[in-house]
Amino acid sequence: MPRWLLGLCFVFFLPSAVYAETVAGLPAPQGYVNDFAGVLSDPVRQQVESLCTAVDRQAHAQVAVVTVKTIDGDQSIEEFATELEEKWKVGAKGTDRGVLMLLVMSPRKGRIEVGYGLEGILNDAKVGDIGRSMVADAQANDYDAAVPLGVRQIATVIATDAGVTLTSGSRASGRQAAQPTSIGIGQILLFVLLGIFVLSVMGRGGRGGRGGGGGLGWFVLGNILGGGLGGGGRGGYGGGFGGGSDNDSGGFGGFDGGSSGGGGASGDF
Amino acid sequence: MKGTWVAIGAVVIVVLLCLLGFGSYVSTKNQLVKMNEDVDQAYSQVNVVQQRRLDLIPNLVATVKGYVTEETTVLTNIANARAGVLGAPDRASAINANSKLDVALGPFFRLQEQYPNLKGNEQFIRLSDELAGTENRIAVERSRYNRTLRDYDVYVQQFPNSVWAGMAGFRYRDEYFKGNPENSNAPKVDFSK
Repeated sequence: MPRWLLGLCFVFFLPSAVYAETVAGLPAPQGYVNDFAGVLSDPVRQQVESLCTAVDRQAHAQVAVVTVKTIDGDQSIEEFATELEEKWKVGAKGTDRGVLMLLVMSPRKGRIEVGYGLEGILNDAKVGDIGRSMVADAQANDYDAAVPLGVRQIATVIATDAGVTLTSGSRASGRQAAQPTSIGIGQILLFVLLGIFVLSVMGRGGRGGRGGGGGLGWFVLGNILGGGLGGGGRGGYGGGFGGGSDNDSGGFGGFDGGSSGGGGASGDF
Repeated sequence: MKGTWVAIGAVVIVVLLCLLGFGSYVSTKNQLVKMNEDVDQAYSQVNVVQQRRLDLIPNLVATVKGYVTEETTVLTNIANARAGVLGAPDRASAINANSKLDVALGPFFRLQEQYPNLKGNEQFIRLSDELAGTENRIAVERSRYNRTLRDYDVYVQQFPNSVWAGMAGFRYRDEYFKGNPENSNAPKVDFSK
């Protein structure tokens, strides 16, 4: 193997091994539990994972657990949590039933961010109580105890409200997260050009003659120019994580486009 | 004969230009209507969480009153600032009044350091959870509002939208939430006390 290829491999694979501390640098969610700081043991991770799966399937709310080593720059944990939620979109689109539990190792801080749809049942005070109940274990570096303790309380509140009893499925085979399907700019442009072409051909075909016709086509062109010259720039982030509709197959199907407005509570530990 | 063709050509070009201009106007106007609504929607979202804060304050003050006797200036300032928000007639002054309330609420979070008894009060802890959560919500919604408003303002000022926007009566709106100007002064730290 040529040496430069090896170097290239390093360049591309190293960043995924080093735990990034900005939201933009975090890899896509691997499941409900994303232990980027590596503080959870495998059995506990799977146990929490299956609990979150049960919550998602039976009570239609998504709980995400994220641990990171530190947060870059002067971003506060609140800002980090909101940005992460904007990127990952925990919870379903429309209902916004999602919860994001974030633990930062240094400085030792935790936050539970609640999506719009769950603010009613998981109000800040209740979430603050849940967070405070985790503090003792977290202070002792026993995250294997702290995380399940917190998630279980959140799950109980959600399940009670939904009127279901959670039965954790034993199918822990994590399906890969669905690939984000997004339409590229190139495809859009192609469609637009095709549309203009068809319209102008239709216009000319109807009237014939030289240089005339095509009024509709020109109108559309004007529309596009008017919009296009205006600098656009408002293209939504879009994408998110599709899939996740086949809830029967078990496992993690990606988050579904929920959003939050900064609700929840944070504290030190 | 040649003159007629030139005239026809000129007319065709003028008609095409008119169509082009009209199409551009219509699309810009529609886009502006949408963006204007987005700004208003984002502001009402800010308003919802600010209202939530206003509703919380009386509860908090009632809880604290039993513990804090001499520290009434903090509470008075909060009450005054709250009244200012309630009395604000339009958006610009509401934004201004709310940032005064931001400042007035600052010392409130430090009360529990001065009064250790408060720390043990279950109700105070949970209420300050709510208040801290609400403050964060306000920060989030304000920054989303600012972003939406900036998108609108950029769009309105760009050519050729600026021409159409002027005709359709949309103009630049300077209704941003700005940081507290007092924060731009470096804080004085006095260790002699």
